[in-house]
Amino acid sequence: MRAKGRYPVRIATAAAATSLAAALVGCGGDTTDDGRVEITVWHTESTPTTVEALDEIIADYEAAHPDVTITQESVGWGDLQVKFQAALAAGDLPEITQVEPMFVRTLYAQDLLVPLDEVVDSLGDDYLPQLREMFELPDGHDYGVVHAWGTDSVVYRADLYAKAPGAGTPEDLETWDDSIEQWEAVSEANDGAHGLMLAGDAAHNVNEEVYLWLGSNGGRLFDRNGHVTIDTPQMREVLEYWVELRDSGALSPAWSSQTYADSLSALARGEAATIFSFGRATYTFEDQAPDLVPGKDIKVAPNRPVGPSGDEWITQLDAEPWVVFKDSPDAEAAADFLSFFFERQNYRRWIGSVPTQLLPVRASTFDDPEYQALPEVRTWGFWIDMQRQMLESGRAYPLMVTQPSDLELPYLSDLYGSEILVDMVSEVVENDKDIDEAMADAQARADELLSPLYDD
Amino acid sequence: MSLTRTTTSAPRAGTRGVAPAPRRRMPGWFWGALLLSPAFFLVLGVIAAPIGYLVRLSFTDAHAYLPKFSAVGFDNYVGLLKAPHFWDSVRTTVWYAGLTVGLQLVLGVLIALMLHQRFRGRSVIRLFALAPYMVPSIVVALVWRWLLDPTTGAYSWFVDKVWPGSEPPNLLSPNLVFWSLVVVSVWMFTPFIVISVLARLQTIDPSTVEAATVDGAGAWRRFWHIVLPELKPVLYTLILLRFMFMFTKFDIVYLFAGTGTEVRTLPVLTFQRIFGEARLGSGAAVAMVLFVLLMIFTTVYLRTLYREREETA
Repeated sequence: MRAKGRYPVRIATAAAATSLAAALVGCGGDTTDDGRVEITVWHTESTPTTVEALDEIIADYEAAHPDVTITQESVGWGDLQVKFQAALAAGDLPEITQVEPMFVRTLYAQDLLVPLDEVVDSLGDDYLPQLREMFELPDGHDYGVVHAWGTDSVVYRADLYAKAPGAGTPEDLETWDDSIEQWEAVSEANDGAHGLMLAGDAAHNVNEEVYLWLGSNGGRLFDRNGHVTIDTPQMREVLEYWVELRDSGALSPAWSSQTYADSLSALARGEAATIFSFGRATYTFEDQAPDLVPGKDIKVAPNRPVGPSGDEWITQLDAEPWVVFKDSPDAEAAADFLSFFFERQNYRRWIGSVPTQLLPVRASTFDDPEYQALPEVRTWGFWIDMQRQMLESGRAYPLMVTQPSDLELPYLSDLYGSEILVDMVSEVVENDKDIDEAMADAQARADELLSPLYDD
Repeated sequence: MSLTRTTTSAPRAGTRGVAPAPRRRMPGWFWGALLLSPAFFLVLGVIAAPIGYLVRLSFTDAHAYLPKFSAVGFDNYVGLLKAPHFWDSVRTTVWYAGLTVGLQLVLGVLIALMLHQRFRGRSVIRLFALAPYMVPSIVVALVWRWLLDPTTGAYSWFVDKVWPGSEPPNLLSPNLVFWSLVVVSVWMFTPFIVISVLARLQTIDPSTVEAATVDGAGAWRRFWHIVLPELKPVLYTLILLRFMFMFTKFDIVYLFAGTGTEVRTLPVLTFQRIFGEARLGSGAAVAMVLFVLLMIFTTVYLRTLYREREETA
């Protein structure tokens, strides 16, 4: 674990201090001369209903606190990192923002975050422990509070699988070999449809598959010393699996240019029998394939196939926390707003805006009759239950984390943003580059990128 | 010779003849400097200072959010020169700029020549021909991605209608996306050439062309011996401008084709180093290389052009 002050003094140059100070002094919000408090909130939930829900919560908070003005800014999920870095450099950080879990330790290590113990305490034991543990840092304080969560799921069209009798369903899958055989059979049985569609257009989707498949194959992205490890037998098997999916016809040849939204549409339109997706997909399904019956035609598997070197599968946990920046002049007010946000009635508005995507962090909410009465929860409750099982299984890890200790590394996002893994996959799967050569290149690039950041 | 002058004024009527103290006027160089200073500070603040900061940054290991900011000498540059993917980027950039500029020129001149002819509806056709340049990059990128989508796009629909059951090649796949990008870029930026060439064509004296026609010169000879020489100055300028634009083009590359190795031009590599890998120092070094390459190209090009003009004169 990197703790604050571990960097050699010599690198903490005056220039860095100056830029950091400039960044902090210029935090987005401000306490104006007349004592008014202004808070800026960044989040990645761009669905209009969610933006409206937050507007309502903000309006209620402002009504109760006339001296406070809160502005929300919805940022595209893929753009948050770029926007965040630019804001840090420009000294224009918001008071409150959502960040990727991998960023929390980085910010904490630089003493940029304010503890949110009061917010967490206000949730009490109701706060799901798996989520709380992620951001309860070594000094005993909580530096991030998850606003909602979800897990990546294997979603499939049962009606398309039914056309390949004997192939079984994704629930039957145990190994990667099984999956190739099954998806190939489904491809053959359905004209114009493929067994599997991946979203390969965006780098982050490819990164997701790499770390999930590697983790499900007994591999890890970082060794015990926190050094990146790409050139491994387990990674080799991941790439071989990918090539075999392509060669067998199990994987749609369009995968490399498909956005995440495209992959959801592909399932809805019957061009793919299986995708990996989060709960927001339900809206695409309902919109583009209203005749399909949730739970009958569209199903979710509680498991994933395991690679030849693995014992257990892992899946992705999407659990972005709210963080508050320490040197914001209104940090206290920002934390107070978050406590208000998590109050039962307000919080229900937030998660109720997209209930299949924004799963509650309060355990009791799942039993709340008002929550259960939400139309999406009634229709897609089976998927929500499946995600709870995955979270409780302990196999759901945040982005780029192949084992829990990876979360302590402050350079996860550097590897994530570098596209080194994406290039490796693309070269092997799309350009037929030799796997060993591609892995060696990727390892060399990753070493060059990350070795200056290692502790040892 | 001193530029400072003193003046004396005649005593006003009714005064006792006490001459006022001579007023000193500021020297000419002072006024020159004063009048130039806004432009000087503007250039200093908007051009020189950012470039200076970029140069400084390129000699550090500055990180986007970790507290690193140490001088590393030429390490970033040496690292770049040793990295195969940097050279891939240089190659991609030169290919992209060269191909798109070449195609824009050929098509632009052809379209301009066509639009220079008299025909019914010429104004409307001219408007349509220039339209791509008016569309924002994000719209161009999204529309073309939709058109070329291998499953739902107009392109796949068309292929399916012509060759039912066939699986069309995925024009957005890593193997083909570079070529698709070239097509989209040419489609988008050719109107710039068309406008410029068309404007020049309209200034050519028609009697010269008519005289050549009377003398029996065919269309090709008229173009080659009369029109093209007249177009040369504008074409030289267009080559320079378009190459600079395409060499540093970021928006359409990023929006349409993303950041994959096939389309990772130097501007995209700079973006990726800074915002993806969080390496400010290394990203600044790539930007500096881009800047220097462009400077070299511009200098060589202008010197060649100048020499040619001297020889012609």
